[in-house]
Amino acid sequence: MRTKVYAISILFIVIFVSIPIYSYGKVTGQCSNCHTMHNSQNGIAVSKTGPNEELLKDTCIGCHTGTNTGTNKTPYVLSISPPDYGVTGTTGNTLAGGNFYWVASSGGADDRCGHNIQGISPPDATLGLTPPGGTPLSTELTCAGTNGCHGDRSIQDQYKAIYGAHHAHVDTGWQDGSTVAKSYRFLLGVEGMEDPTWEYHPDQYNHNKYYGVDRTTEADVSGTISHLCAECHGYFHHGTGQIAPDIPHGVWLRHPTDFDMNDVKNGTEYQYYNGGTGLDNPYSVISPVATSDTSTTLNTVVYHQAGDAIVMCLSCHRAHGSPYHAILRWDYKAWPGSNGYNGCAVCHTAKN
Amino acid sequence: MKITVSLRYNRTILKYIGIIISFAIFIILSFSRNSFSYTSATICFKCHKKSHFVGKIVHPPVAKGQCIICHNPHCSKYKGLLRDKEASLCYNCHKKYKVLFTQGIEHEPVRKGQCLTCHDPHCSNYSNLINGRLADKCFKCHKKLIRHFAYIHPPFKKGQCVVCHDPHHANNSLLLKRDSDDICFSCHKKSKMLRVHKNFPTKDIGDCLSCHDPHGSNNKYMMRKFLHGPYKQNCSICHNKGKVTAEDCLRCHKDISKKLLSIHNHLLGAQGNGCIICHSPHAGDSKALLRAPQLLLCRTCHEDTYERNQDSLYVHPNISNCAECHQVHGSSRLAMLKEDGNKVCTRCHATQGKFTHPIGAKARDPRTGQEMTCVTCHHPMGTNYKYELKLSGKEDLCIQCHKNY
Amino acid sequence: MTKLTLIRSILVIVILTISTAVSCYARSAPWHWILTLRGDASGKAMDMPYSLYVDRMTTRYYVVDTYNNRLLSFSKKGKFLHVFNANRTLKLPMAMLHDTNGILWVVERGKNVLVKIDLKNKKMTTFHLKYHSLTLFPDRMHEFNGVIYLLDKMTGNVYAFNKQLELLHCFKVPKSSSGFIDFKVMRGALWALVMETQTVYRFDLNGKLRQVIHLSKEMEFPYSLAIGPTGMIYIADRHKNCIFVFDGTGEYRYTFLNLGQDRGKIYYPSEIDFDPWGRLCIVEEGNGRVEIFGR
Repeated sequence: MRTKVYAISILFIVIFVSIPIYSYGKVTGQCSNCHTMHNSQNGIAVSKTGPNEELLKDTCIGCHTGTNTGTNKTPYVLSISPPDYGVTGTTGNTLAGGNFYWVASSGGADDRCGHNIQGISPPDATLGLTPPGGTPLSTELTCAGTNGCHGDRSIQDQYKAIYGAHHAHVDTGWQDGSTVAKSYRFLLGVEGMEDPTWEYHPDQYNHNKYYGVDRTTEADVSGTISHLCAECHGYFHHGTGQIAPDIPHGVWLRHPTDFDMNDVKNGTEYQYYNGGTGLDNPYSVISPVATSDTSTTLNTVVYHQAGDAIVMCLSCHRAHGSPYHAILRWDYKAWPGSNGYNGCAVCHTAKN
Repeated sequence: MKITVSLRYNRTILKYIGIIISFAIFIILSFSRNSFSYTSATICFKCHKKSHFVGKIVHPPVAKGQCIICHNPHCSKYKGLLRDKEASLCYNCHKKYKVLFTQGIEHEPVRKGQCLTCHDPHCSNYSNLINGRLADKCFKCHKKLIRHFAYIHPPFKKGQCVVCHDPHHANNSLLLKRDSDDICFSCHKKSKMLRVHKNFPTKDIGDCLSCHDPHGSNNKYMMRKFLHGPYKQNCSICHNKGKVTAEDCLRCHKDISKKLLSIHNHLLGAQGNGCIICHSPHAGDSKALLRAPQLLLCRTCHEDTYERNQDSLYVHPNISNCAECHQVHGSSRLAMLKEDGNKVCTRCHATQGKFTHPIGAKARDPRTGQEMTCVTCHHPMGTNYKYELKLSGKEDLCIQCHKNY
Repeated sequence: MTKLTLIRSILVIVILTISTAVSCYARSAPWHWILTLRGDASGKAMDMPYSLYVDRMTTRYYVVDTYNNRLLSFSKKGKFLHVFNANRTLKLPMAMLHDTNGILWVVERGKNVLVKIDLKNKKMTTFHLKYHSLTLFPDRMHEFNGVIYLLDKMTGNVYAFNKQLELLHCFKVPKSSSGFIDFKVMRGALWALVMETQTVYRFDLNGKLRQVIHLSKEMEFPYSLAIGPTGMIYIADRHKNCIFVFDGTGEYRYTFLNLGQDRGKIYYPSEIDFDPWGRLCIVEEGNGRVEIFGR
């Protein structure tokens, strides 16, 4: 019996050594799927908008336009036809960031329903180049670069800002934010763990793991997803006397972000987050929370340990676009009408 | 009991023996075409009219009714239900030509194995089973050959191409059967020609084709169209002191002299006058006085390049003028290109020159440290990959350098 | 299945796997890559190097980096040593040798001269070579026993000169061909290659033709020859980018190497030669390097 075991072990070792080791998470497939050497094929330009940097066949949004099916290898953040959002964006074909459709000039064209990105929609007709709670940008928002979110935001050019990340990325494990390729969703400096399907039909056991910090002051912190938002929308995140003078008690001038509900749950409505009891409450994909735990264990429950119920910007908003004003995750405006939804009540359990 | 068993046993043995013998007969007969030959041809001629296979000359297998030597009567992946590719079938019998024809330069239909371009495999009223008048066959492909001249060489007029040319192969790109002078003197006796050329500066005569067009010309004596200046003026300009060498040419053609001072040049020895290997010093059909059309001339030494081009799936179009890209006298560039591997291409491919993978002095091939140029990835003489790439452009070529991807 | 059978089956699989891997590596056996001489260490990659000279006394390799108008020296182990460009006066050097008196001889195509460089005394003398008043175009050059042998492109012959550049012998190319493309002086004889007839001619060192060797396998573009220590003939095919090996009678033996840019592959080889240590050196114009192979 022992001999059999040894023999089979040797066999498996031989087989696995023979198989080349692939890194998972890198873009795969043929180079010519994304790149063109001369932007010319049969005498016709490959890219309709002109040659792209890094010999790319298309722009960022050009490649990331499509309809999500759950099996696509490229995440689509803009759809040409109206995507299926469902009520809370968790049951249709939109992903964690939502969809730019509703703000795109080719789609809903509603400035209030998404970030106005160059190449997707013109600058916000009301706000111009000034993000709410922040200072004006020098140009319209871009996908990456100095005036964008993804990539290295110290580099002006958005292609250079994200250079090499697609090929070097590994989407399993904790992203420590040290490089663009090792950052959560190529957001340099942001930590987190990525759902392999970008939250296509997420649930308690299949979702992103967002990084947050339980602050005790109004000062800014780094590495969190809320900090990234605050780089443009700073007033909503940090600043002396801007958020709450007496954390965690007292009057909140602005909704908390990067604050842990564990600090206030006992005896309050927050104890019953997502219908739980105050201990190991089920994680909600409708109003998700961040955690300061940087292990690779997915946070499927909340109120399991300190720092695992951190409110963040994405608890209520989507990053790219949604059908709802202020890019909310649910239709708060229509609530309590029958078409509305009170996602706030996931945390504010007494206010439904 | 014993008897019954033994009878049953014998019957079984007999049954097996019968099966084996039948099988053996079947195998023998199916391989033995000859034994079926008369019978099979008769069957063939039931549908295929026998009158179509009758002529002055009949291919022996046809005469013997051995249709199935070449044809599979049931099915085949080749046109005409042939058992094999055209040339392979022919060389099965004409074995000695298989190697012989590959020596030197092959006539294009021979190189491609297209014997039936010229031959009829069944019968013909022309010798060597040519499937029509020989001259018609030649001019069907050689359409650009001028056929009407004021002074026309009789063999050319009569369409007797094979008097001078070997239709299969030769050791020269003009497919002449042997040395051109030998061919000329076989009809035009040398002794007579010496008398006719008695004022010539050299004691002997030869290199007839350096003056005369063997097909015809609008000039008397079938002189070629363009005359070399000194030849037109006075022979002694060149023939003034013994052997004429390349130095004599370069004395006037000083620009060529400079080009020869390159890493690679076409100074081809020939005991001092390599110029006349390509150029006629007397007369020619072009201003450059080339001895043959450019492509044919280059093929004399670069037949391998020509074959690679012909056999490749993807080739650069219009390569008949080698001098379009190559500096034929001398160049210090790889493959004797006129300029570096970028400029020579982007003269025409301006779009690809404007937007391209990094090239030039700052973009180095990590494998060799050489500058990236168009010819790092492309091979314009022909490859089996689209866009004349050296490897597939989908991924294989990229990862030669971008190894981590 | 018995234990023994199971173990035997696994052993067979393991052996097959290893032998497949070995056979992939062994494609160019019996030759294996030893080292590459590249110009990068000099601050600049080589560009169209044409020839190589190996100095047995100093155990150095000298590469003629033609397009860059310079000579590079390397140690026996391939370490870059020096650059020499005669104060930037060299113009398309094609061949060089370092004679026993410490004199450097360089064929310069850019000026069509043979230059004698006395490094000690820092003196350069230029010679325009002639043969019966015909200007020669020197190409390849070798030295043997104090005699300089030069291949001339004008006539296609090889000429032997003494150090005073007095003509000693002429190794004539047969009338039927255009000229020699390469030659080597080895084993007391001069071996010269004619491309169009794919024939090697062996002369004694007095210029008398001793043997004509017809190479049995058809090559595409035979460009350079080397004679191995055991008398085997090595021919670099410049277009096919491989080395053909023939025995001393011209019978084909095998081919090795193929086209490419990676280590162990060649591109537009311009010269092959054996160094004094039995290693085959291939100067690659296309790849801008010299690769050295051993058995």
